[in-house]
Order: sequence, then C-alpha cells, then structure tokens
Amino acid sequence: MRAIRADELQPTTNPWAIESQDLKVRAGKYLAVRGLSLNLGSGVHGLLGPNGAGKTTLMRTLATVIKPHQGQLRLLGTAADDRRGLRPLRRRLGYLPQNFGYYPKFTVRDYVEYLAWLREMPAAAVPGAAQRVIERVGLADRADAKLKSLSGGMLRRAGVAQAIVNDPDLLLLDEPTVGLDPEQRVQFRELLREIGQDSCVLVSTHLVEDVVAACSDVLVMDQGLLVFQGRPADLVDRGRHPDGVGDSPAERGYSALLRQHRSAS
Amino acid sequence: MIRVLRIELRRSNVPVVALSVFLVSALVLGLTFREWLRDWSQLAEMTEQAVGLTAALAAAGGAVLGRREKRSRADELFAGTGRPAWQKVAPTAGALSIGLVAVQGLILAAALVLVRVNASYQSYSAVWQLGPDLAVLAGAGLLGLAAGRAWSSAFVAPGLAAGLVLVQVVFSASGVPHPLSFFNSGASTWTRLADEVVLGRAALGAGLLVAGILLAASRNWAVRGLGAGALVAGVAAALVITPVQRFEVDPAARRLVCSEGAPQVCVTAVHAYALADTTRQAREALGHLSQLPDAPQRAIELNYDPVAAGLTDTSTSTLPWDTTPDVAPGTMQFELVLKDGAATDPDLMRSMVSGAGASLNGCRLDDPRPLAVAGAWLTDAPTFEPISPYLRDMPFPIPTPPEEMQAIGAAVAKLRALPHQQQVQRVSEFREALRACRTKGLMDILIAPGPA
Repeated sequence: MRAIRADELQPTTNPWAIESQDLKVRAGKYLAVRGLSLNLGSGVHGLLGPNGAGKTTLMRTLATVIKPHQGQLRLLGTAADDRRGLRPLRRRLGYLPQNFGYYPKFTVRDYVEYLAWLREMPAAAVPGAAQRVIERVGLADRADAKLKSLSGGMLRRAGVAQAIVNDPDLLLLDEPTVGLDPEQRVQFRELLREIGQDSCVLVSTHLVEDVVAACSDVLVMDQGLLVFQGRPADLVDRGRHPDGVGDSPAERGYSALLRQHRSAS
Repeated sequence: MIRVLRIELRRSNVPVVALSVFLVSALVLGLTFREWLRDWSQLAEMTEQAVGLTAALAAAGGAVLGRREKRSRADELFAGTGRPAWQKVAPTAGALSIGLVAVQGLILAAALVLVRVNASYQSYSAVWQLGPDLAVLAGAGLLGLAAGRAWSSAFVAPGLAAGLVLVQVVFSASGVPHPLSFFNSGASTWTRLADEVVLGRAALGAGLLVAGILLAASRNWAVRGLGAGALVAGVAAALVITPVQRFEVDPAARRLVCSEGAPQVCVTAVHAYALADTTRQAREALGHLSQLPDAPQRAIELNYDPVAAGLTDTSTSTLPWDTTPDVAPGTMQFELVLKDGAATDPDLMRSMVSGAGASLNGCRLDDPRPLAVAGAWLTDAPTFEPISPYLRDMPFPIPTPPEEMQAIGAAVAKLRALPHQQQVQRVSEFREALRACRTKGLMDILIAPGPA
C-alpha cells in the first residue's frame, strides 16, 4: 500500500512512461545507441542484449545520468532535455546502476534513507518507507548491518531497496539479479511483477530465463539498435528456429534473433 | 536533512578527522601546558599554532571525504536523483564543519576556561581569536572537500596537508611573522594579540569558508569563479589587515599589584599569583641592601617589554640594552622569572642583591663576576653564583666553572679583609658606577688596593 500523490490523480496525456524516437546516445566518442525508437508503458520490460549492445548506455540515458546525443526522449511525459522538468521527473525515477556505488560504512537503513532523501521524499515519510522496502527485499534482519559486511546478493537487494524506496513510476534496474541465489531470484521476480502492476519497470539483464519468467515484454538490443520487441512467448517461439543455441527455448530464441540480425546487417 | 546529517556524522570519515584534530590540538596544548596556563598571550600563540596544524589535517580529511563519491562510484547513482548539487553536498559539508568546529571549539574553550581560572588577570583577545580560528579550520576542511570532489586522486589529501604545513613553515622561516602562517612566535609576558591580527584571521577564515562552500557545492563555472574570488579576497584582506607586529602591549597585564605592608613589593598583574613568595624574597633582599646608604625602600617587577620598545623581531632582540629604566628614587627593579608557570622564582633574592640591586639599569654588563662579589658581600656568603642580568630565563643555563667560583670567593675575601667602613664605601661606589652605566673597572672599585 502506498499513498497516492496529487499528480498521479491528474489526467495525463502520455500513455507511455518511456517514449523515444530515433534516439542516439554517445558513450565517450562511441555511438552506443544508434537510433532507438521505443514506447513503453506500465509493466515489467526485460532488456536483453550481448555485451556492448548499448543496454547500459540506454539505461543511463533513461535515468537522466547522461544526455541523448540526438533524437527525442520523453520520460513520464517530460522531455529529457527540459531542464526545468528534470527535478520533478527525477523524484519519480528509481535507478539501480550495474555497478552501483555505496559507502561501505553505511548501514542498509542509512543507505536507503540517504537515497530517499536524495530523491526528495518528504522527511516524515522516509523512515517508514525505508523500513517497508527493506522488508520487501528480505533484509529486515540486516537493516542495521553495515553494507561492507553484506554478501554480493544482499548488496544487490539493498540496491533494489534504494531504487524502489520512493515508489517510482519508472524503475530502471541494470543487472539486478547478479549474485542472487535461485530462491532470491524467484522472490525478486515476484517483487518485479508486483511493482510492474502500476509502474513501468525496465530490467536490463543477461539472464534470459529471468526475463521470460518475470517480464510482460521483451526488448533485445544489439549494436545499439533495437532488434526485437515482443512478448516472452514470442521469444520462446523463435527458439524453434534452427539457428538458435542454448539450453532453453528462450535462450535459443534469443541467440537466433541475434544471429539473424547480424547476418542481415 | 537532520536525519542525513546524522548519518554523515556517524558513517563518514568525520569522526576520524575530528578525533585526529582533537589529538593534535591536545598534543600541542598539552606539551605547552605550563607555558600558557597562566598566560593569555601564550595561549593565543599556542592555539594559533595548533590551528595551523589542525587546518592542514582538516583539509586532508575533507579531501578524503570529497573523493568518496567517485571512489565508491556512488556518483552514478546520485547523479540520477533530483536534489540540486548544493543540496547533495550540504549534509557532507555540514557534518565536516560541525565535527571540526565542535572538537576544536571544545578543546580551545577548555583551554580558555583553564587560563580564566588560573591567570591573575583577564585579557580577552584569545577569546576573540576563537571565532576566526574555527572559521579557518572549517574553511580549510571545506576547501579540502572541494579539492577531493574535483580531483579524486589519492595524492590530493596528503599533498594538501603537506603543502599547507610547508607553506606555513616557509612563511615563518624568516623569523618575521607572516599573516598566512600560524607558526609565528612573538608573544611575550605583557602582550596581547593585536585586534588587527584577529580581524585579519577573521577575513582569512571568511574567505576560506565562502570559497570552500561555493567550490564544493557548485558545478557552475561562474559560481566556482566566485568561490575562487572569495579565496583571493580573504587572503588579500588578511595580508593587508594583519600587522607585522602581531602582539601589542597589554596595559592590564602590566598593571602593578602590590603587597600590603612595608617595604612595598609590586609585581605586574600577569604575575600576581606569585606575589606572596616574591614579597618574602624581595623583602629579604631589601633587608640585605639596607646595609648600604641610600638603600631602596620599595621593589617593583621589571616590565621591560621588547614589543613595547617597538622591536619587531622579538626572537633576537629581547634585551633592553641602552634603555633607561623608568623608576622613582628609592625604588629598585627586579626581574621575576617564573618558569613553567611556577608561583615562585627560586633565585629572586640572589638576583636582587647581585650588583647591589643596580644591575637592571639597561646597561650592557658583560662581566657578571663583580656583580656576584657584591651579592656575596651583601648576603655574607663565601662565594656567589654569577647572575647575568636579563638572561635568567635562559632555557639551558650554563653552570659556572669551579675555578671561577673560587676566584669570586677570593675576591669576596679580599673585600672583607678591608675595614668595614671601606667595604661599605666600596660597594656603594660600585653601585653608583652601575647606576651611571660606568661598566669598566667594576672589580677594581671593589677590591683594588688603595683608596676606593
């Protein structure tokens, strides 16, 4: 249960949380995202792609950490280049970077509360919200443990907790399941489905099975381009193609997609 | 904000930096404890030197804190949050400033209370100094924070600390006080830190504070330019305002405090705590001196001060050569040497009778032996350790060789071999020669054959 904000009750003219048109983003001198057109609404969206496909650059752009080089990008109805709109927009974002930083001496609670403050949550709401998300990610018994004492999986869960503490309308998770054991991954998928009911969640990962199990929508990127967008079942169907390699139909479908795209280009 | 500030105070390196500042301050003030316990000007000098060191520590601690965000790669996560850059820095900068000011303020306030309780007089320039000193400390910490945020190299923190100490050492190496160094000397017994010095420090502290805040909190080049401007303005104002003569005569310290009864003995207010023992010894000395005609009836503490005499470099010109003591007839001066804040000068009586009570006349007396002969004669001692006027507070006094003591003893015996009337006459003539600054042939006056 969360409180409904006034701006959520206002009529909206943007059905998409993420709208991009011919989006190009540089990573240094290299054009990492090369003309991406995309519309994503509520639900859990899985972003797949090999290393260097431009996933992390895209996630950083959507998190407003880096600016697009060219093209249009609107997030929750706000243009990404609208400097005035950036601050209210960021209040509605949740972001877990691939290599998310933390201060080792902070406890889990300190860390989540600190990020809640940075996301401009009302001061009175911070302690309750922090406790709630810590419980949601299963770290209630380690809430007052220092981050440096946590295992990799626990750290990831602390990272997820900070990303969802402000009940974001757009949640961006880059490799959130790295280090989680199978049981934790199953729990995490449930959490994603729960959040995705009324928010847009974009999960970047290499784990095809996670996407198939938890996502309502799959996106595949390669060489900075979107090469596939569809339902997980569509990806599984592609697994019947003889080009596909992998241990499961979804993995075979994913690899077949990439091979087809590369041979076509 | 308060919640986040508390987190920073507990979880950042602020507790370690604050503890280091505390230990260094405590070490500097602890090692010099006896020097400043009863002396405001010494306290001002020692706290200044402590701040010179702790400011370097604070800058280094700030730099370590500043590079934390990049080193831990938290900048990526923080960059996607809504708060403006200055708000993101505010809890960190606030925690650092609070930690530094609280610890240094606490230890300096404790020192002020100790002096307030133990000193014989009150002088508050050391109290006014507290504010600017704390501003300098917090400003140094914030500038370090800004440097650490700008350059995340591990060398920034030690480089800053070493650089700040080195700059101060170089500035003060000439012996002439420098406005940008905290390692200056120049405090003496009857002085206080000049108001302009405190004002100059305040300007420097304000410049450092404003520059530290603006440079740490903003990514805007115009604001950073303002920060750099504030730093330059603070340094320039400190250079212009701060006088070379950092300490000035403190009339409250020089005021005479006198004993009840006769003969009257007076000490300066700085040394009022030692009046009882000084009175006892001075009266004993006056008793010995009364063997001579025209003997002094009153004794007051010499309060010659190089600062009052307009000497800039007090480290090398502390002796009042070629000055005429300003004393009324019938009054003699004595030099009171209270080592380590002790309430007694163990050699006071002997120093007063040395030279028949006329050795502190401003003349250069290179040979202290005739003074010792007169002292031995007055106190009826077989010999007498020579006492060089104005040099009694030497940190490492050189012991007199036995043969010299024997020579003095022989001279005393020779003097005593004369008829008593002649002995008195010769010692009186010796005293008048000293008073008139005739410093040649003093031993001859005492013991040469023939009429005195």
